[in-house]
Amino acid sequence: MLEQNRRAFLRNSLLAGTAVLTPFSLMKLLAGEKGKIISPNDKIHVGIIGTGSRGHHLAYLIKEYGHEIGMEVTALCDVYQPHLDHTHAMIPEAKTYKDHRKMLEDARELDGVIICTPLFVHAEPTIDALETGLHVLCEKAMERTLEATYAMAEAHYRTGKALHIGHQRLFDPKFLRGMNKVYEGDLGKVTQIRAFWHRNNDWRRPVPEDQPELERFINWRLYRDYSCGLLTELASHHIQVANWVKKDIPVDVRGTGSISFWKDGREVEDNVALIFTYKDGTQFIYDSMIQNRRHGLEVQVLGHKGTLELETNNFFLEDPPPQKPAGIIQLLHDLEENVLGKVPIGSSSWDPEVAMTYKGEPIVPENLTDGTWEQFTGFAKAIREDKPIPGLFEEGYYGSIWTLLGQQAIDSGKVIQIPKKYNISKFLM
Amino acid sequence: MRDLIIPGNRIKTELKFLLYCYIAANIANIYAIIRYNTEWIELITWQRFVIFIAFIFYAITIVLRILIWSIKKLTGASGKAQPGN
Repeated sequence: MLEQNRRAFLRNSLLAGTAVLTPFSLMKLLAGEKGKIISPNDKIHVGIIGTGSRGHHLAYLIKEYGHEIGMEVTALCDVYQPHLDHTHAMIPEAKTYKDHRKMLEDARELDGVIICTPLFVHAEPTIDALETGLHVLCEKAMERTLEATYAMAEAHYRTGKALHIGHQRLFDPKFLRGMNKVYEGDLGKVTQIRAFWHRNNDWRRPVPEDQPELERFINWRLYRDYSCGLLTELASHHIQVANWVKKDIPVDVRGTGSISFWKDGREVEDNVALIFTYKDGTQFIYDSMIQNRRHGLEVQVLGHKGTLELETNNFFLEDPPPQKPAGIIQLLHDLEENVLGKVPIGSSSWDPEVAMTYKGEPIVPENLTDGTWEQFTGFAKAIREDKPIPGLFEEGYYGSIWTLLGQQAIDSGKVIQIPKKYNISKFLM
Repeated sequence: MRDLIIPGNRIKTELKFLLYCYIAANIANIYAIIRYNTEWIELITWQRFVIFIAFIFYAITIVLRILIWSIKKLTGASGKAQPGN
């Protein structure tokens, strides 16, 4: 059902420019209340809170391609002046703020907010924006703690405003088509999902030499007060995908982690491994490291009939159709057999079970996008229609919650289950 | 070392043999495509292999011609016969 909604949404998003107002939405528009329905011809004005590397990149995308969906950046906010100046130089017409509350006071000019602040300061601007009546696109993971994540969810359901979490794979055509393959049974019964994300760098951002006190401010990803490192910054994407494959959340998670290479004062692990178990017995095995990039990143969905490798756009059948050799090869082979006859050779009692050499087939013919821009298309649609896309928030929420529970499993060495209070099904009744 | 002189006639003959071998290899490819019901695009995509087969055919003709020339020599046939003629 969720998949159908998503496909319908992607299809409809192409028609966003010709959307028709309903009588109900027209009444809301005439009432002039915040949460107005926006005419397809009107521009969507968004503010960006957090103009570091990700915020700057998203601002760039909107500046370059925003005309396709009628979106433009009219406000920028950051407490760090160099970042604010850098992005403002790209979009000089945008107003600048150092305090998000001041920006939200001018919210009459805004229709939505994009939050790209560090993880531990996602909740406050998100909740403030939702309560101001704005729709929010917040980068993943949602927050540093379970409580703050839940508070964001509560604000989303209470205000009825869209809260999209930056899981762009939900909009990536190869992931969408891959999910269809899973749900249509092309993979058979999926009993294992494997994912990994490997890099080879210290994951540090440069700190101005004359301001060493900015180390924790700039490299917040490396400190436990602000981040869960590889888990919140990378794993949350693949945890969301695993839940999406299973249309469920795990029963429990166990894990381990260590600082095994980059012993430079950081507090977050540089080497982690987690196993999530689903109630049908499916295991989701995840690992991440930043001292070897040979295998890069991948999500492998393993069923008894086939395998998906979603990041690299590949689908493999367990029993691929036999490859027919070229005619002339078959002719030579037959001639050889007729002349020499078959020579019986005893086969070995055991063959090494190395990987299949079969190259598979692409999930989608052309792998042109990672879904980041399509995510904006969805956000624009939610703003125009003044309502969230059904099911989208829950994907982000449980992706974040299970990421934090994974960290708990590593820290405690125990098998962790989700506390009942963080189940949000009560909001969906 | 003495210069080796290959008469124009001989070059022409050898090129003819090579052409016949190339045609024969292509005919074999067409036959194989029909017999094993494979794709006609193999006429193009397998050209490198067809050329390789053509050279094998050509090598076989050389062996055969040397054999025929040797037999003629041994049985005292007309003395002007040379390999390849």
